[in-house]
Amino acid sequence: MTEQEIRSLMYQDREKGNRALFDTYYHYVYAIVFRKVNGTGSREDVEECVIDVFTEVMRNFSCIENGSLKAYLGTAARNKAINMCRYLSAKSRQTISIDSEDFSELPSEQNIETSIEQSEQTQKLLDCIHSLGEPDSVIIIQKYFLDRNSIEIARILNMNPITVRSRAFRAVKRLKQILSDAGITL
Amino acid sequence: MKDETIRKILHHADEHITEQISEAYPMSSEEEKERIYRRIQENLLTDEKPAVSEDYQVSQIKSTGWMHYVSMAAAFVLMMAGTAGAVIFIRNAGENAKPSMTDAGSGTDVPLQKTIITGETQITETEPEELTKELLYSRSARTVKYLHQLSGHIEVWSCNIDMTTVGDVMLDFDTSEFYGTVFDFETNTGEVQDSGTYYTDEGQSVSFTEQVHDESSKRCDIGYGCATDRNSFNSDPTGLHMLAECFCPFEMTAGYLADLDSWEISDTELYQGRECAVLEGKTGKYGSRWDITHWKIIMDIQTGVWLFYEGYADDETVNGFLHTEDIEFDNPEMQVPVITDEEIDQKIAEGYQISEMSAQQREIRKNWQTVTEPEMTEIEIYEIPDTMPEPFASDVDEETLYDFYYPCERRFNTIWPELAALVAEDWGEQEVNYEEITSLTDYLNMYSFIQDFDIPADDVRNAMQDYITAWDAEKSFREDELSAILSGNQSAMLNYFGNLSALRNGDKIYTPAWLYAHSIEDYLAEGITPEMIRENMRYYFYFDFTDEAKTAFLNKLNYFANMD
Repeated sequence: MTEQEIRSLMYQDREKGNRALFDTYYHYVYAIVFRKVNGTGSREDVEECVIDVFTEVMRNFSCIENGSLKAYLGTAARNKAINMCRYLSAKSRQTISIDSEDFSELPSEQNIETSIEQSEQTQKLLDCIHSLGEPDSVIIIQKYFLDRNSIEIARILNMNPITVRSRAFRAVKRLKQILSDAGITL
Repeated sequence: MKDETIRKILHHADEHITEQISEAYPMSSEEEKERIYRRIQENLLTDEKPAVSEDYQVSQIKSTGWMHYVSMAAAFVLMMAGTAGAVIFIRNAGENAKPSMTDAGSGTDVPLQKTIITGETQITETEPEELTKELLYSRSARTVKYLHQLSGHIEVWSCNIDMTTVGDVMLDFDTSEFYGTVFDFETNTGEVQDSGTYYTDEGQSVSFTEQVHDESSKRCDIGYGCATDRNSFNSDPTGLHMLAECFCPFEMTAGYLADLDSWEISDTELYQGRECAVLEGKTGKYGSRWDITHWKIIMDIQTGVWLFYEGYADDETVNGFLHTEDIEFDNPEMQVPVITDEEIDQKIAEGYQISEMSAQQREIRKNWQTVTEPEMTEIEIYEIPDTMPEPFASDVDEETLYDFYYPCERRFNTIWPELAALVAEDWGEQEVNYEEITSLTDYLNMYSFIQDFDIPADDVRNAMQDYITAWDAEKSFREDELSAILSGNQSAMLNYFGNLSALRNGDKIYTPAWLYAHSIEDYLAEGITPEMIRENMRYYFYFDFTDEAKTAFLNKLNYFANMD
């Protein structure tokens, strides 16, 4: 569903509009929040944060008139996730590293270079993961990006956990081969 | 490239790539997604409130001077209110934390106190509770169901022994760790006769004992710990009899409380800061061995733990007692001490003698600790060779080979002469690849023999008659064991005869030899799970492998055990 369609639906029928907004951007918001909160908070914390992002956006939708809806959701997700991390760190008396990307400061030239290299590397890896095809690519993403165990992945894919484990093992082997054949060293 | 590298790279994905991932792959199950949506709907329904849960909001506004002072004043008010609330709470709750009732089981729980916090005041309401004898009996018989951690001081004595045992113990049911210092006093003189310090961590017990007047009696014993899982506590959490009379008083519960007509709940009282029931009763045959005719127990209502017990003779002489002090339940701060290898070294240097068997156990412990330490859980550090080396050197003993290759114990694998005589033909020896055995029908044993030659059950029973409860344990079969063989139920047979080191999966069994020879793909294909390997891991340290074989095998098992 396009942003325009969601906007019109929101004005015609708020409930349907909310549902459409959620269905369209759920995975996007979840991914952003997970990426930020992972390592500091639990999966429940991620869920709470996703809930807060959507609740806030849905409540204040009438104020979001200009600009991209997706970009707005992305920013809201990022800010909420950062706040969540700060809260969790304070709660556990952790300190947020001054090097953390959550601290906005001007990146140095070297940082930019490293960041570009990392992005290229990740893109290559992601392309190779795509080439595995489903369901192996899904399993790899669930296991290594979302840190889910085989039981959770099995639930998502409607598979047996043993099959998931088995496929994951073989998929990693294949992925290594694909990377090696493509001359990619990670 | 190592597996962990994939994770690290993906975790460092920038927003552009994160977006790509979210477009191509589901981030959660549909069930989880729907649950989240329902929560959002609930939030929207409770509108008029601030848009988001504010508890983790971080203000972006820098506080001005006056705000600083207002904040300090507000903090002071909150602190005072909190302190007052805490005092009220402590008074109401007693000294100890309430145990969590995670597994009440019986469905007849004593209602917990409801604590309502309203601003600066706190009201504690107690619903009327029905304290029945059935409830207390049930709690006492299942104390471990209601406990996670406990610690305290215990004194135990009964008139048929000259010693009074006194100890301080700490026990964590969730981690299976135990620590205790125990002294035996001569009852009449109060003089310490012997003492011991006991540790149990996952699967192993380490104890240091000595007779006080005999320097040469200092012993360090290392062996299997019985605190390997929660069910082990049903008999005795640590091997120390005294705990079976207090924290897990199963035998005494059966002896004193099973007959509900022989005792009464005479009172309830606060004892050691706990809500307790006072029970008084008479005893028949069970108490007569200590010349006890009646008794008094003070039982913690929520857990069934006995905090006080005295057994009396007719003339009111105390003939047995259990006294406790400072009993504490489920204190999250409690850390059960676990002994380190260096500390064992130190004790040995202090003169504690270690037997050869304990020394062997210690080596196993060392290997075990080395391989399963948390920092080793990153699976990619294990190098698994394509071809496994020979497992043993040529001089390995027969027993080791037996445990390695055979799925069941020897008496089950033996075709006894009387059984063999039932088959007229020459059945000879089979050619078996022992690395491929996964079922009881894959090699020669009593069951496969009976199956192959279709021997009637009655004939087997007659032939094996002399073996039923024979004196020689290696030849002896119980009636139920024989029935299991004749039932054809392989799972039951494995329960009776399976080697501990062989891994079970339903009717299938995987010997260490099978696990050694087969690949991780084979494990997966057979439905073996990392949990199963983790469960059995300890047994594989016993084998007298060559160094190369041990490394290769344990690396393979560890790799698999950490696949989640």
